[in-house]
Amino acid sequence: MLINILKMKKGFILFALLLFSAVSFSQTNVVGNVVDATTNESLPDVEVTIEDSNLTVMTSASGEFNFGAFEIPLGEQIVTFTKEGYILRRYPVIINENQTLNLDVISLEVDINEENFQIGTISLSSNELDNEENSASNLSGLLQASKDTYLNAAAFDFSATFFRPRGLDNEYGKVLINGIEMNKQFDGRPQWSSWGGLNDIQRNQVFTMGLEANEYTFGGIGGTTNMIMRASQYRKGGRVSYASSNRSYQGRVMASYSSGKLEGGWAYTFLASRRFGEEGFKDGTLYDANSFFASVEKQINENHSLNFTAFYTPNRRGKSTAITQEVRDLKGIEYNPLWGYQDGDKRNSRIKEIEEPVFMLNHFWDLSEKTKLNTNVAFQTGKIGNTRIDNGGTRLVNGPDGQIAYEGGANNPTPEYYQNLPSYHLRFPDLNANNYQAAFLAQQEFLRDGQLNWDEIYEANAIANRTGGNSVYVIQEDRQDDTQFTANTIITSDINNNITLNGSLNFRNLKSENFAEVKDLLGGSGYLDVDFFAEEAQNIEAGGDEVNDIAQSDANNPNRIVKEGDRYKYNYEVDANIVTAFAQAQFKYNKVDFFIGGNVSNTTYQRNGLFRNGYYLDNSFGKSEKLDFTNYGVKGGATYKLSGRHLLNVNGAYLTNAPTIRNSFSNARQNNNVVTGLESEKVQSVDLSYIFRSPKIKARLTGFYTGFQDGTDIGFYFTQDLSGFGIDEGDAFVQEVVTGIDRRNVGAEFGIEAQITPTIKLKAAGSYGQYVYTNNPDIYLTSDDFNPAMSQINERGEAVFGNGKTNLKDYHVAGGPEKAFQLGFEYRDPNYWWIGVTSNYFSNAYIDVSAINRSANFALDYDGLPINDYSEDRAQELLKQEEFDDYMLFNVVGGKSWKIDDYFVGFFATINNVFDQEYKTGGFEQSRNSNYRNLNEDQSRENGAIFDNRYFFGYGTTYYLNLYIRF
Amino acid sequence: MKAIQLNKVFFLLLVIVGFTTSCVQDDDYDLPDTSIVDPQLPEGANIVSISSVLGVAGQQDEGEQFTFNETNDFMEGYVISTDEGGNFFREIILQDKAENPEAGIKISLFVNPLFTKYEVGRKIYVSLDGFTVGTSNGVVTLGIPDGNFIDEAPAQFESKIYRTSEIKEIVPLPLSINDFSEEYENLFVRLENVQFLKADVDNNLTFASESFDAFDGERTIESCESSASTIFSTSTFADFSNLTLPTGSGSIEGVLSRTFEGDVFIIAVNSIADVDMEGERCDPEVFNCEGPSGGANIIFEEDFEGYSNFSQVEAAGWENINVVDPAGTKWVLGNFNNDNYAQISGFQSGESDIQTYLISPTINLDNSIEEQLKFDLEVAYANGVILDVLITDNYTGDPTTTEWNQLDVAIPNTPSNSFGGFNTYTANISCIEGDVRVAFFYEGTDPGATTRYHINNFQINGN
Repeated sequence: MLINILKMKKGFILFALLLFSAVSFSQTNVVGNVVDATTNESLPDVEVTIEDSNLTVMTSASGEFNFGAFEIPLGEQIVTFTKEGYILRRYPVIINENQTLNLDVISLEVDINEENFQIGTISLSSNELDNEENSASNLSGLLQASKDTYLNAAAFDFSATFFRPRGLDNEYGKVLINGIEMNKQFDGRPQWSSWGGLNDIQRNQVFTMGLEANEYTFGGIGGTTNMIMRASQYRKGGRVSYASSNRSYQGRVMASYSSGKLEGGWAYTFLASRRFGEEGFKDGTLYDANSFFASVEKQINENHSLNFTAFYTPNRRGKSTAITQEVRDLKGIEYNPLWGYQDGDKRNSRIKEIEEPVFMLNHFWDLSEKTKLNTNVAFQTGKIGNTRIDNGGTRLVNGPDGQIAYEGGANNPTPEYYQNLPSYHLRFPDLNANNYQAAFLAQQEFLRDGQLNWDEIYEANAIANRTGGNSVYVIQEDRQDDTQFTANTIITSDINNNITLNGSLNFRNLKSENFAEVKDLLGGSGYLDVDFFAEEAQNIEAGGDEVNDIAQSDANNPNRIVKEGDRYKYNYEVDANIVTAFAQAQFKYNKVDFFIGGNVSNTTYQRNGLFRNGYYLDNSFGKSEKLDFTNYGVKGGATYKLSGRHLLNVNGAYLTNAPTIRNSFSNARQNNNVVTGLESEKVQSVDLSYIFRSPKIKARLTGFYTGFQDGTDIGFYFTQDLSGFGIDEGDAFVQEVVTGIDRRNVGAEFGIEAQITPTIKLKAAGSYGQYVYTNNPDIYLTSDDFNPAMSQINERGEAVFGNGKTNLKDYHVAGGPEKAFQLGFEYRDPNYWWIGVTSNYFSNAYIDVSAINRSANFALDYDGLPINDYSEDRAQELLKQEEFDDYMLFNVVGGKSWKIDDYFVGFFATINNVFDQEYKTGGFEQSRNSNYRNLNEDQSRENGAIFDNRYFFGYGTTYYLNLYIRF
Repeated sequence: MKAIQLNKVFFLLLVIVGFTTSCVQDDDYDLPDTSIVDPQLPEGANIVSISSVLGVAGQQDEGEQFTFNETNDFMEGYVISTDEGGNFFREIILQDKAENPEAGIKISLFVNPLFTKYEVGRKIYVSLDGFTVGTSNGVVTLGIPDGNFIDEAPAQFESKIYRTSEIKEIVPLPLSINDFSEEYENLFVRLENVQFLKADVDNNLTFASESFDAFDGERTIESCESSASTIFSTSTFADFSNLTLPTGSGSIEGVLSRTFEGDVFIIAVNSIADVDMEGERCDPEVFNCEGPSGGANIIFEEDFEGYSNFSQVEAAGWENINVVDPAGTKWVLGNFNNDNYAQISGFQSGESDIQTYLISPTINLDNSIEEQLKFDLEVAYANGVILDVLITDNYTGDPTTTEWNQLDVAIPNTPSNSFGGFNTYTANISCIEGDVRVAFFYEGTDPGATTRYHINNFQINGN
């Protein structure tokens, strides 16, 4: 009570215990209640540890803690209280046998430095997450992971590079909001934009590494993040902030207010924010996002609480794209070919727009002291749209004898079209003056302009319009309109002081509408909805189909003229139903904690075609076969406490994952075909950690292994060298289906930090991994250019080459550097400013290899026979996986905060990549040249390949600055 | 206290709303002004006609080219071609006037597509500075030099083209195939009363989607009014390449040009809409007998063996007459693998009109029934079906005054660049009696229709 009033300075002031120790029971115990020193509100989730023992408990929602479950050490001990955002408190006590020591009320001071740091981390990490090209990153869950040195480094400093902890794509991590899984059924990935810009209210997060015990869900091997967005869980107060950056957005304003618990059991929280920018680091990448959040909670009585949370975060982004080295050398790493000037402003042709508001109702019911039941329902509906220029506009022309032709269509208007680049004009072995002239002029033109020409696009449509035709170019928006309903119930029961049981039941129903929509006729009057490639002869000769039929996007409504807002090209929906049950038991004892868990799920998918595609008249309209997957997982883990300072932790799991919707249908836009050989992916994962913690040094070293079998991957590309199709006939736009993919991720990660003095901290972290394919998976292609009447196409319409395998064994799985190391230091001045510097080293990042080029097709000629001038040695060279150069990135971060009356005012700033190091974050081989002869020819050109690898380049030097006021 | 804080919150939310309305410009653009303003030609620009550029080209020695250098000359002309239908590629054809044109020229430019900027009828100026003019692929072309050819000018040469706001309707120039000549090249012309060959139509040939069509599908069209024929050329990349040939007769509007080799006239259309052939065909009436035909009784046969030249064949009763020029192309004795046959080809004869008959000796059919004509024919380097099989029972001694009946023999128009091998053809002649004569009438023009034919194992049989 006395302590309650005492204000503690920053630092480690020790108090001798003078206060009474009360009432004896037959058991030794330490209990108490933790509150915020400023607001006097109870603090949940405070970690309470008896130093030099291995005993840790967390405070409850009402701030209470209790060591009754443990045999606690006697005599003089130090109890520490830690919570993110608060100054650590060490509290000396004397514990007497068979007495309960009641510490009564312990208050924690807000660490305004930490506050500052936290705001920075959250903002920064989400800035990286927002990065379109970095969307595969798995750093999502680490927004608030600053407790762990390694995860902190990964979230804060490694994130700019495609780095993925343990080499795991973010589809292997689960993101939950109030206990409801938010990962998309389409690709398994969380769609971060759907709750972007809500940073202030995303502070309550529980991150579970790997498959450690989690009370909500079985989780994913990449970890599980649960964001608690309940009005009652927010600290009372408001915050206003402004951020400025030159990465993805230029500015962000945000304001939020939480009421805290009000009389009558009510609590509410609001947030509104806006992020905006004409362009980020990449040219022409506009940013336009508003975010709104509201949560209201009513504590009905002691045992029931009902919460409503809704958020709406409409988000529009201008995209950038991967470029070749040639383009980079001409235009630099900021170059983005996707925009052009219109009306004096930069207009990006590829806009990603997301609007998927979420509404959820959460009911919390304390069935008893020990048992809690949490029931949630959520509804999410909206759209994801991606635009691009469709250059295939035609007009219908009546030919002789009732025949029809579709005249028109234009080339891809992108300024970096291969025929616009110098390398194309210098492609010959013997060059003449004309070639050099053309190359020079192309180069000058590309340097001078090199952007989309919107005026010419509009002019083309105006001419077509005047001459009675339709739009040649339109803006096509590929849409995914999902409506999802989720319900779940989660039970947590403390059977006794040592055993906790968790269980949950989940149901999810998704209706996903997928279609293309005419977003903008670009001045034209309509668009003729036919496939302008249909006239290509090989199809017709082999199949005997009339071109007028196969050209139809929807043969039920042939030769439709579509207008803005109309669906065209493709139109289908997918119904998905997922039911999951999860159970887990956690055991906590003095020397060892352990848990076991398991889940079982059923997943069904069904496609329903709304268009009858001309190529697939019998197999596109109506419902597909219904896919049904039953999956299960088991996991377990244990922590053995050698002493309070040394811990060993081991976790293991075996599970199967149902294929995503994306990987289940080979060509969902055009037909009902299911991937041949589709299997659930099997995953085995084990990790072993050694953890050291002392007041000055925290360290963790983890070895990990994950094996994957029967993975599936579908790619789409244009290729021109398919074997067995005849001379100059091997070109097709294909769907590449790779199944039975086996992989292995093995490595080690570590983090260590040392508090050298109360103000200086040194840290080091790193990850050393190897992520490789371990088998030669199956590969086949499908295409609307294929016809089962062709001899090289099987009865399912698939092209299979040779033994049907792609020789990927021992190639690295692309996805960020496999090795990343950090050295850093932090200085935290008692006067509330701090600065941190890190140096980060990255290596062993690899290009995404072309699977078709590792299949038998590579060595086969147009007639299906082996290429006669094939050289094994040269083939080895051509197929060697490109490893990107290693590089160092230096980041500086710092901030200062003030307390003025009841206000906290502060700023936070960072400069990333201080020395403007250029680096590649990723890239891929083009599959356009898909046999030895043509790849060799292209890669041997003196002046560079025409269809060379494409790369994503990381940002140069960038800054981020955040100013805030909290009250 | 609480009220004050709430006020703060609302104030701040207002600030936010203020920011929210600060718009990111990414939508709601003004439509660009797509109307074309007449260009400001540079000071001292000198407008020249297409004729004068053709004149420059004509003054050069055979195969030589001329490069314009440091000139202020701007050539004016009207666009008459479009690549919208895919039948023209990286080229703009210009003519000097919208109606009654007198000169046309091709501009070869590495730009695709062009229809999005240069629609048919648009008047443009072309700054000649830096362009080279010469004859390439048989027609006068502006571009850049590449040996004896004119190559496509680099895409950036497009900046030398200035569009005016003037668009005129191009009135096609009526022209008959017989009148084709160099002066009409690169003009937009109209052919009346023409049709595709019966053989091609009967075979359901497409414009340019046959396996033997390499770059262009070349189909013969023939006049209904004269014996003239020419080539209708379609790119295999044309959007209508896979349509089957029109069955009727009618008109075609297109650009008069030359084949890739430059030796033969072709007509190429902008759009399939410019082919209007809904009329009846104008095929000659063929002589068709009903009933059984053919038997073991060989009434007459000739395998051309035992002769060492064609005079000896003529001595055996065959007539070999070029009715235009007695010294012109006639039938000769061909031999391959020790096999003799009658052979004719107008290729490289330089004769614009070849009309040559091969007429059999007189054959009497009074003592037989169910007669059949049977012969082997090889077609080679076909560029038109220019052989008719005729019969008469009243030969006057002069084929031009004789009343011939055309027999129904479907002679193919293939192959175009090789030998097709011998095939056997038959015709029912059971309804004709008396002394008959059979004629093979070759009607060609060089350059143009010069298909080579071999005839062997001529036979008339019956019972």
